[in-house]
Parts: sequence; C-alpha cells; structure tokens
Amino acid sequence: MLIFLSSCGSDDAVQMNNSLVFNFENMVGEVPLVIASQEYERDNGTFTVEELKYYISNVRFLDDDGNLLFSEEESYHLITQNNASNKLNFKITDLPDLQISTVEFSIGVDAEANTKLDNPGDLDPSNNMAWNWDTGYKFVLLEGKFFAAGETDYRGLVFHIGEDSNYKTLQFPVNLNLSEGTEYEIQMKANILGMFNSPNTISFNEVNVAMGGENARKIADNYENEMFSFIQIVNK
Amino acid sequence: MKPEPVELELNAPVYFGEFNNRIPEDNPLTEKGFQLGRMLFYEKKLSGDNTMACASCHQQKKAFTDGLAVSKGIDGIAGKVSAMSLVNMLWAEKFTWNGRKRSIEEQSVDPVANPIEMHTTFEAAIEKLEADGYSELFSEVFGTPEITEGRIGKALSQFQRSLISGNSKYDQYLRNEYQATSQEIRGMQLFFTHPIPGQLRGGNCGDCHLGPLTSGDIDGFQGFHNNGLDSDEELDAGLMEFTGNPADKGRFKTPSLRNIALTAPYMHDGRFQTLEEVLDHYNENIKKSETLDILIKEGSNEPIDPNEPVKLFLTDQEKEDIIAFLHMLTDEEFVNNPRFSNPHN
Ligand code: HEC
Ligand code: HEC
Repeated sequence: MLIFLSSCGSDDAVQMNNSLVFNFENMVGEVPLVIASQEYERDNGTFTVEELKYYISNVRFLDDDGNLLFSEEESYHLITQNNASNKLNFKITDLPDLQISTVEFSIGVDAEANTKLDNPGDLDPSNNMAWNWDTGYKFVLLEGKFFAAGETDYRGLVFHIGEDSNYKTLQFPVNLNLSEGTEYEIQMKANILGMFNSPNTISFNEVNVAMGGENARKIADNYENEMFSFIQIVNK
Repeated sequence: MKPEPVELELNAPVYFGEFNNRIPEDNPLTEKGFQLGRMLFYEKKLSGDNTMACASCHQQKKAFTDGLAVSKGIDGIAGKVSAMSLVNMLWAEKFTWNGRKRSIEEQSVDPVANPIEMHTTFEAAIEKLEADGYSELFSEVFGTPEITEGRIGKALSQFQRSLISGNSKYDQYLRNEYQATSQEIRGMQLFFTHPIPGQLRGGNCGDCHLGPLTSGDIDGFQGFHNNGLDSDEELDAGLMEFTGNPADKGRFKTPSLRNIALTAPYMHDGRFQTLEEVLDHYNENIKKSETLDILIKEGSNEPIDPNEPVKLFLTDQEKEDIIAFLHMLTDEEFVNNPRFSNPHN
C-alpha cells in the first residue's frame, strides 16, 4: 500500500515497478556479529551476543528540497539475529519512479502504534517484542554475556530499550534514481558498539542491564548517534 | 454429492496475535474435524486395555492436566515428566517439555504407542475404531473412510488447536470489562516488570512468560530457559536431550501460565505443590548452574555480587500480589466449555 504525495499532472499511467531492499549488516566494530560462539573484547573483559533485535519503522523518502516523496504504510520491520533466525532485510515493492535524496527511518515504534497490541505484521504481539498493554514494545533488544576481568562467573547483558522518548528518527543522504523497473539494495551497517560509545560511554562493568530509566535513555541517545551507518547502494 | 466441509472459525483475543496463518495448510480446521478430534481425545479404545484416553491425563477441569507430579500410563509405570496443560497451542511451534516435537500432529500420535502411556499399536487401535463405526466419521472429515495414524493425529490436532483460553479475569480487565483490585494491579505490574535495583521493583516473570499469553517466545528454541531449578550436578538434560548441545542443558519449554491455579503441581517434574512454593523458588531458592538464564541471573531488586546466590528480593506482600495476578489467569469458561467436554457421556 502506498501513499503518493507528489502530484502527477499527466494522465499517463504511473509506473510502479521499482523495488528497494533494505539490508542490515550487524557488526561489532569492524567485524560481523556472530551469535553466541564469538567473544569480543570490551571494558577489560570479553562479551558474547545471544540475541539482537530492533525495529526499523516509518520508512520515508525525501527529495532534494526535503519534500516528502513517499512514505511506506504500516511500516514496521523487525530485524532479528539470534540462534533461531537471521532476518536482516526487508523489501519495499511497487515503487513509482522517484529521484530520492534522503532516506529516512526510525528506530522503534511510534507512539500511536506503541500502546496498541492489536497491530499487524512485524508488530504481532507474539514475536516477543511486546512488553505488555501499558508499556508497549521493546524497540531494541540485545542480550548476551559479559566475562569481566578477574571474575569467574559471567554476568548477563540484558538491554531492552523502549518507551516513546527513545523512539529515534534517522536520515541518510543518498543519490538514488528509481526508474523503469529498477531494483536496488540499500546496505546499512548496524554496529552494536554504537549503543555503548557516544555521546554516553557505557561500561559493561558498571551497566550490564538496562530496561527503561536513565541508562535506557543514554543508550537510545547513542543508537540515534552512531549505531547505524550507510554503506552503499547496489543495483540488483 | 458430498456437502462442502464447514470451516471452523476460531475466536481469540487480538492481543494473542495472528493465528489463521498458524493453522497448517494440510490440516485446515473444520467443524466435523474438530468433533472427530474431540471423540478421539476422549476415546479409551486408543489404549491397550481400553482404560485410558488422552483426557485421562489431560482433564478439562484441571485445564487439561492430571493433577499428578508425573503421569502414569496404563501399566502404572510413571514417566519422568508432568502432563502439560493443553492451551493456546496455536501460538507455539515446539512441543513437550524438552521441545522434541515440531507440531501438535506429531505429539498427538506419540502417547498411543508409548509403552508408558496408552501402550498399544496403531494397528490394534485402528481395528477397534473400525469396529466401533468410526470409518464413516473419518470419511466425512477426510473424504474416504480409511483410518490411519496420520488422520488420527490430524483430527486430534484440530480439537486441540481449538482449545483457546482468552476469557480470564485478566482478559476481562484488558477489555475493560473487569475492574481489577489494587492487589491484582500491583501483581500484574510486578509480573511484567524487570527489576532495576533502586529504581524499579519487579518480579521479572514477563521476561520469559511473555505478554498476555504468558508463554515463551515462539521463535525456534528462544522460549526455552533454565529457570534455576537445579545445580549443574542435578540438572536434567532438557533441550540438550534433543539438540545434543551442552549450552541447552536444563533448558525447558516456558509453559503458559493460563489457568495456572488449576494445574498444580508445578514444573516439568511436578516438584512444587503450590504457587507459594513457586514464588519462593524464584525469589530465594534459585540454583546456579552454567546455563542458568541471564534474565534470572540479572533480575533482582537489590544489587547482587556475582559471587553471591541469585535472589529476587521480593517482599512477602509482593509475592502475594504476584500470586493474586496468577489467579486472575483462571478462565472458568474454558474449563467448563461444553464443546471441550467428553462427547461419549
Ligand atoms: C499418561 C498420561 C498422558 C496421556 C494418556 C496423554 N498425555 Fe499428552 N502429555 C503427557 C505428558 C507427561 C506430557 C509432557 C511430555 C513430555 O514433555 O515429554 C504431555 C504433553 C502433551 C502435549 C504437548 C503440549 C505442549 O504444550 O508442548 C500434547 C499436544 C499432548 N500431550 C497431547 C496428547 C494427546 C492428543 C493424547 C492422546 C492421544 C495425550 N496427550 C495423551 C501425558 C499424557
Ligand atoms: C528465565 C525465564 C523465566 C522467568 C524469568 C520466569 N519463568 Fe516461570 N518458568 C520458566 C520455565 C522455563 C518454566 C518450566 C521449567 C521447568 O519445568 O523445568 C517455568 C515454569 C513456571 C511455572 C510452572 C508452570 C507449570 O505448568 O508447571 C510457574 C507457575 C511459573 N514458571 C511462574 C513464574 C513466575 C511467577 C515468575 C516470576 C516470579 C516466573 N515464572 C519467571 C521460565 C521463566
């Protein structure tokens, strides 16, 4: 389902045969994220990741002047990497010809959908991202283990970030011309260290759990800042 | 001309999530299929000595459990695990405590031939069903009169997929039809809150018993956890028995807590008699082991030293509040629904 905001003066049938794939490569710094079996260094210790999930939502395309060209309806995509699933991409089809200068999407679930639990698609409450009726969805979930220096037993890493104020919108400049049946893939990087580095430095020695509150807000400011970056667009 | 099969429409609360896409294409739900499944579920001829049906261990009044710590088959031999409540199984993709069955169909044919359960052969059982006039019913459901193991499994599954419990006090509360007491509301909030020492009090339950279904994550084995019942030495294999992976040792299916007040005793081996004992377990009796779930390890209302025992630090009042919430999950309509009762009576 599409909404057209660009007016179309002619009677010519609009071509709607372009498509765009969004692909997210989950990284730990410079290396690809491997679930459970790989240990990464941090804060004088090492950690593993058991599960990473996040919502990419409300995908929109803007033109050179910042005008809205297209906005996907019911735009909620859950990216999942764990022992059971590897769901790292989604596809938007039936796109008209467009000259896109900015790609925009948000991390999380907007306030309107956040407290409804009868949402469709990737918001299906049975996918373990819904907390409950009152608190809405987890936007970003990361779970793992931290082996701190000098401790025999590991600590759990449990980061479940949600709440309306932690919903963040990102924009990426691109130069993308959709015309006559093109299929492009937008490749993005999601570096999980970006959740813990800047502007707020989070040390696993001090914070290994965050679910709401001050630490969740700090992590959300971080994922807004440098977790996601644009790699390239490839023609498929 | 045969009449077209009447499709069976299920009703479930929207907040359980999509379910029509969860019904397998090769076993669509029909009213006749449901009724045949119901007859088979209560059919003692499916057992070696005609004394036991599925319903012997899965009794409606007890939310389809048997009230025993571990179940006994027709020969009186006890198994190692407790009969599971059969409820809201549409929202599950792995079955049995250790997750070895991938569908309700697969699990439903297992007890018939299992020597410590109904202990017969399908050949013998099918002969008895044929003699009893079941062939015509199979014909109405499947188009031809053959009675096969596969068809028995399909019909049983249609009945069990329809066992939806969605009208407890908690559901009525969610639909604004019931005014919860302040204790129930406190319990609900504690149940669904992950505690943060000094900031947020929580019971941590909803981390694993997810959302209104109160059952585990559907995705793969993500809903299987080690909830701290035993130390490494005593720990049962759990999911490891099926996967062979040591990281899965002691991980069991997170059961739905719907109708939990009716399904004592608790846990895969029925070790706890009461909900009070369950709360004591989570609050102060967690046993550490290598695979103890991080959501329990990192769930406490007080800062804990990693070298100390894992404790939740709930007050007695808070434990009672959570139990009050668990009682809200009892669904009288479900355990009294005549559509789920014994059709042979
Ligand atoms: C002797 C008692 C007994 C009988 C008879 C019995 N069951 Fe069970 N049922 C159990 C036990 C015990 C379990 C748990 C099994 C395990 O984890 O290994 C179970 C588990 C199940 C499950 C899995 C539920 C879940 O959520 O994973 C289903 C489905 C089921 N039984 C259906 C049936 C059907 C259908 C029949 C009749 C053909 C039947 N059972 C007969 C005791 C019984
Ligand atoms: C780490 C995940 C996890 C957490 C947190 C958790 N549970 Fe469980 N729960 C499980 C698993 C897994 C089982 C089954 C364990 C077994 O039998 O081996 C279970 C079993 C139970 C049972 C017994 C169900 C039955 O049918 O026998 C009850 C009752 C229960 N939990 C209540 C709670 C309550 C109340 C809380 C919060 C205080 C809680 N759980 C927190 C995972 C969890």
